[in-house]
Amino acid sequence: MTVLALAGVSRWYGNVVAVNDVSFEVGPGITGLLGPNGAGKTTLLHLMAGFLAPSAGTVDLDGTPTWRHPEVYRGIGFVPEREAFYPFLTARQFVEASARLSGVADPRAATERAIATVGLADAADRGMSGYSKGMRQRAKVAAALVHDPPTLILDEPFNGMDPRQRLSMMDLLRAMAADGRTILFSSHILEEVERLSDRVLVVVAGRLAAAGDFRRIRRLMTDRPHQFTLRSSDDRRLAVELMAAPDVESVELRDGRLTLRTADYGALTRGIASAARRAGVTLYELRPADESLESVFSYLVRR
Amino acid sequence: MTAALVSLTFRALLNRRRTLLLAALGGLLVLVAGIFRLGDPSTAEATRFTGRLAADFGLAVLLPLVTVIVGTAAVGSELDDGTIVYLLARPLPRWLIVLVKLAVTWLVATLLVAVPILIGGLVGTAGDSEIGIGYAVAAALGALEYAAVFLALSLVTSRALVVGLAYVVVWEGVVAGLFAGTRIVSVRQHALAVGDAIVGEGAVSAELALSVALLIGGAVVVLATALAIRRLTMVELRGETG
Amino acid sequence: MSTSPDSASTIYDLGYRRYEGPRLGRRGAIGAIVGAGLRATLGLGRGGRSKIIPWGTLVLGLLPAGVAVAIRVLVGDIVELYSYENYVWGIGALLPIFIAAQAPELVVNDLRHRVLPLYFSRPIGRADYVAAKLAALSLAVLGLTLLPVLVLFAGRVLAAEDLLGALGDEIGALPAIFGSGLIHAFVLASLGLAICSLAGRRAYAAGAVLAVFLIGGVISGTLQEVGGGLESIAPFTNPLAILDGTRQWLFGGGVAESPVTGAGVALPIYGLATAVLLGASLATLAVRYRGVST
Repeated sequence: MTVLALAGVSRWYGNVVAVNDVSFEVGPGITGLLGPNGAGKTTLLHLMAGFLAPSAGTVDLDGTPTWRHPEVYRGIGFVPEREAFYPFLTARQFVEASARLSGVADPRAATERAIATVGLADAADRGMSGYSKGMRQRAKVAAALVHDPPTLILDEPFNGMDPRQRLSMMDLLRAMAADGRTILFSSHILEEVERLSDRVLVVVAGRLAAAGDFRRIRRLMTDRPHQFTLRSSDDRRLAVELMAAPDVESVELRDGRLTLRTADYGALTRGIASAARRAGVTLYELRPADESLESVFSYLVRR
Repeated sequence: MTAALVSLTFRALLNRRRTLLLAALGGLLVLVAGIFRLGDPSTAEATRFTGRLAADFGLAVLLPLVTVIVGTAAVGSELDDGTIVYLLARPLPRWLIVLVKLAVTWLVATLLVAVPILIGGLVGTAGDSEIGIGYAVAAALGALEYAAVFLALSLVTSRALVVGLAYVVVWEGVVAGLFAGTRIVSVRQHALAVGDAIVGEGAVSAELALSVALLIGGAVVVLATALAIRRLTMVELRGETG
Repeated sequence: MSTSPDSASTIYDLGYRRYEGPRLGRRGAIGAIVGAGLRATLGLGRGGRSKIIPWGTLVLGLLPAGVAVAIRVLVGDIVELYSYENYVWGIGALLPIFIAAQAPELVVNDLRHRVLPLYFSRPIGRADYVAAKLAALSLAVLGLTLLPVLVLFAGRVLAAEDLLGALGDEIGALPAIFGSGLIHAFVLASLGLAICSLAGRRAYAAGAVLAVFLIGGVISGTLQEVGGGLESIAPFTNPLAILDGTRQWLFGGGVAESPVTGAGVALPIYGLATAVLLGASLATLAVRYRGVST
């Protein structure tokens, strides 16, 4: 069980601040790092992986700073965003060299395992210069997990993958997280993060805008009304009843669908059942309408 | 781990078209010596010509050209194309990476320079090994010094090849020719001093005493290597756009 | 701008228009490449650091001519520092540096970043592209092979007491000045571009150009010094010596330091060698650019 901890981390280049006073901890499970292009995701990941010196603050992997401590790489697998590869190696040679460089006890067996894990066995003996982007990505992932690291850091791992490869990579990451690994990946595509992560970190303009389960993050955004859609035995009567409730901001009945907005998530979810009973209406369905990560994200980015 | 690093570095430095081109330059030296031999020269002529060829072509052109290209590529091209991350993300001490890169660069440069000089020397003098061995040893020692300097340079600037070429052409070629005092910090002059000490009456009389050349050359190797290790320890990887 | 009543969707007319006017066509495109190439070669519009080598070499190349003119004006016609014949040979060391530093700017990145299809989607062909780049580099190299000699010429004419008489004396040298300058510039530019077109990166291209000239010069010098019949091969390993021989063949006037002096080779052979050098360079360019996929 490993914990990657950032405390008060800032990083600036000259007078441009790329990461601004970020603190969080990443533990086992899948954590998604989300942010628009240029928000500082790569800078943050490189800080965590020890490829950049924090200008202020500390980055520790289980208590050891990652910057200038190459021995931490026994426990870290890193997949860079940049499509860098040795043009003179096949994928198998690349993964095996990575295994040997990490001092793996049985590099050949570890190589075969890693290549099989990413599903690259058929093409492993071809030169990587002839690979598609998705194949190179998988070779990079194989190299990153060949030494069986408890922590895996992936920068935009789904870039250039087709939908099928994307799904199998997601399955792979889920399986690895189920083994108790700490997995951190970045993406600017919401759907990926939403489908994969237990936890999100939202970075906007170098600052950590939110951290945690995105549904809970949503609930914390109290200055923005929550939206629900309801289905019931009699929508019109329910609407009338709800309009009288103090926390409800607006009620709308349109195209046979009842939508309501409230500023107080907790009060509404507690009170709606009794409101339905008072109106003598049976409640069939109560669904948060905008709990998608997209809405959370666009809210945080715009703020 | 070290063995894997050595083999990876070897493949990176050898498995490219440019190695063939550099080997062809060495072949050119042997070829010129061979053409000269066809003219059936006298022994004195042969000694003079072969010495000039080994010193003026071998040490003054081939050696810096090969070492600047191989030396700046050893780490520089990996920084350039981003593959350095695959070394830095492994539990390898940074000093080990630098020392391995330096050793492999040295070996490759020696193969590409000292061997043609040795063969060219033997061919040009029809078997008199003194010139060939003398300048080959000089080339090997010079290759170490150049390799250390250019390796450190590639960690200081991203335009190491251009700066290195400028150093060779402008400093060693022009400035050291005009201002004799600057020769004390010219790698070429260090190598020449070694060659002259072995060959005896060298074709190009060296300006420096052997002891001075070895002392300064050794100091340069140590300082440049220390600088390279320091720079690699501090090297930072930014994103593609940063 | 109309909004249909049943939906809020609208496509706004922002006023973008296709350009329908006259176009400059092929000639304009070639001219633009030449102009941009010349600017790139001279470092115009770039930062200060990319101006150091082109302007440094140009200034160094003009310096002797300027000094010679100044002496003539101040002291009079007492010493002949430079002749029209030996000037380009005298500043010969600058030519490889200039070409090695600037020729890669013209061709290497276009090939490396595969932007040639963008050029060829315009009304120009491969030959036009190569010709335009060649013209740009040749024009820039003329700054070293022609401009200083013209300065020398102007100095001699203007410093004379009898202007018209001096003009009459000197004007006969103009064909040789222009001929030699143009041949040097064009052949060296072709050779430089051909070498650069084969390199993958600008630094390698610069190294390759320097290697060709340095190694050629060193081998030539060694052969010349050793003698024993080898001095007759000496000029042919050095492109600058081949060009000097051609200049001597066409316009006369020997240069003491050149390996052509003492080689004892019939001068037309140099013309042939120049033709072979130029032909090989242009053929290399043709083959290299024929292979570029559009």
